[in-house]
Amino acid sequence: MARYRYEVEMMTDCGNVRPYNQDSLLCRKGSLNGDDFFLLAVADGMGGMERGELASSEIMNVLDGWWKNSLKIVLENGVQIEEVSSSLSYAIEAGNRRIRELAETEGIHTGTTLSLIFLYKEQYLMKHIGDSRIYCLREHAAYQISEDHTWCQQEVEKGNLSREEAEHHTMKHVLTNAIGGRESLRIDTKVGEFRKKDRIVLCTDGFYNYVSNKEIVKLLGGKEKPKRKLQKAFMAVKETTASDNISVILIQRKRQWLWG
Amino acid sequence: MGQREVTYQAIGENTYLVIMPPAEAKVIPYLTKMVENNKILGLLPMASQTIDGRTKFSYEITRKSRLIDVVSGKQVGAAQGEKIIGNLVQALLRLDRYFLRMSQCVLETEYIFVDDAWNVYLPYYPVEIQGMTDGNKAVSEFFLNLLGTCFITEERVEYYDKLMRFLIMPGFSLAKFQEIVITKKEAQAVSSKPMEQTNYKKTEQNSLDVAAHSIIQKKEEKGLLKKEVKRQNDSWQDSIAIPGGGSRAENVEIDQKPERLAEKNKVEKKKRDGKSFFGFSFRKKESQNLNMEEDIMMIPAGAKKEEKNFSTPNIPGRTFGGENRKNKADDFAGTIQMNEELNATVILGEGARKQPYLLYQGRKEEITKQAFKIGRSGGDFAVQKKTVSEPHAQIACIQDSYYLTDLNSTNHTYLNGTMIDPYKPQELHNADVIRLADQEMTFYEG
Repeated sequence: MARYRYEVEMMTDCGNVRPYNQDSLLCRKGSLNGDDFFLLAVADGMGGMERGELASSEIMNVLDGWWKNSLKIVLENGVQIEEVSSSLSYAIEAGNRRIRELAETEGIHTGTTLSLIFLYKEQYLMKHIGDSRIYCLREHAAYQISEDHTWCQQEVEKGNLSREEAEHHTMKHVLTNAIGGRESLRIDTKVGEFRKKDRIVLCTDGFYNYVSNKEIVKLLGGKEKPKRKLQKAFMAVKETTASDNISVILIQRKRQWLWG
Repeated sequence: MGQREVTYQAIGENTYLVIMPPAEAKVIPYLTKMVENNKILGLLPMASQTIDGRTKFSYEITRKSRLIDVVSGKQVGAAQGEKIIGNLVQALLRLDRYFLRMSQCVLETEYIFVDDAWNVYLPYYPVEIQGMTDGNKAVSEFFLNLLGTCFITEERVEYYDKLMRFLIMPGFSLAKFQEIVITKKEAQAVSSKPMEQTNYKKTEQNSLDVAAHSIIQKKEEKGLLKKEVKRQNDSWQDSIAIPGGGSRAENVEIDQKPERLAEKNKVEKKKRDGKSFFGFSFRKKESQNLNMEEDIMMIPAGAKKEEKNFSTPNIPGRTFGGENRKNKADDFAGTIQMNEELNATVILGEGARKQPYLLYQGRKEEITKQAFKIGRSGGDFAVQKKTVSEPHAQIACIQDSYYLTDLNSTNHTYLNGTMIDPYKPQELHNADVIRLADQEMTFYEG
């Protein structure tokens, strides 16, 4: 009987300029009747100094709490993606309230992006807020499955900016949606297929701003082990300016032998 | 959408509030299980039952009274009133730990229950409610109604007045409301309550550790039940809590097939000594091979020059200070800026801050506080006329907008010639004319 097994690797680095890292990453793994399922998440904190790391760490704690306490209940009758999605949304909203309260209590202004994937068998569930990104690498191409919640993206959709202009615009770091930003939160949700040879990449803007889609495919789409690929990718990014924190999570199907 | 059906059922010595959502309502299975499988302080124990595609929720209300009966029956003194409000706030705040929404609690005094120790119990209604996501608004309106209609007492006028003033301000925050609700004295009383201390164990790293909470609950079950049996004799209530003043004959629908429910109770009873809640099960045994690995890969922010961190994360030290900027009201056309570092995510600024003021009898009175009180002699701006009350009105600043509220003055407050209702904030715009009794002034945004 076929078993779905994956291998995942994650890596983060301050980059060449910043002395501190405001990115947080999370990977949780479980299995149901022999098939792996994963929760993967990246969060890019904002606010400067330690304020950003407060928000990004806190949302990861919330997700970890969801994993430990809510997911078991959700999975009582097997993996129902709609239920997983609904419970994750509730958790993220609670995280938003928590971060806003913390910020209010400590008199600071902070927030974070969040991009996560829940993966089970050949199905992925995506939840996304902000401008970190999730790519699906398939057949030598990189498909961005998340949508940037940025002012530039908004202008591109309105037709006021071209994609090229948006790439180099001075306002490209301006977000329209972030956890901790406002009381109401827009959470993008998507469900998709994860095929045998696909790779899913979660990354913060400190990575994708310094590599093109072609380079992402070249660096992360191959057959090597994820760790090796990430090491090469980080080396490549750090040869550029790399003025932001760099974070990547990569997941792919594990090679299975007939007798394994 | 149709109305929900509400009935009461008595089964043996237990009484239940039963709510059946309308046929077209969408029940959220995950939330139903979450509430059923966890004994959540502040919520009524709940069980769900689906028959012919329709789900009903049964809430156990044995030896509890409706909040509306308790507060309007003059059984509540000032101290008890404060406890009830404090417990209500705590019950609502606790929901976030379980990722439950406040807006899905039935915030109606007929369906909120109180026991003889003044603990409150809310019914959680795990049904999708269209358009209702603003829990804070629903909660502030609920407390406003509760204080305004139920807590009619001459004692602690100042305290209730303080709560009302907070509730009428826009931008309600339940956490901040709690700071006002629970006085020092009250905090001591609440923390010394046995239920709070024995049933919740804080873990080091994760205040959302519901699993540990549930385990503690299971262990304490026997102890709790023993207390409950004893309380039966001590209770000031000498009948089962049935709405309508305690009469057993009225308003009670006896379940036609009690044996079905009794059968279920017997199964549950095996796990417990003494009496048990209806259908309130412990976490179900896993029938499938579910494995949630203990190993966690988490790299919290703050990691410096490290590639991986497999240890359980610590929450990084938080810093204080930093500019406390307020954004404009929620609007997806707006943007979020956090700082101005190079390449950092930025928020669009609002430009130079304006200084609003009132122009009264040729004099300029700057509005310098977030809650700016105007009255005859005290507050932030004194209008020394006998027709003006003390205090008369308030101007509040919320997210760069200004709101005028009449504080139940004798000769009323008028905005551009129209009288405004007490305790109902009205947004102010540049050059609006405000009249306190017969004293006129103009508001300018600056």
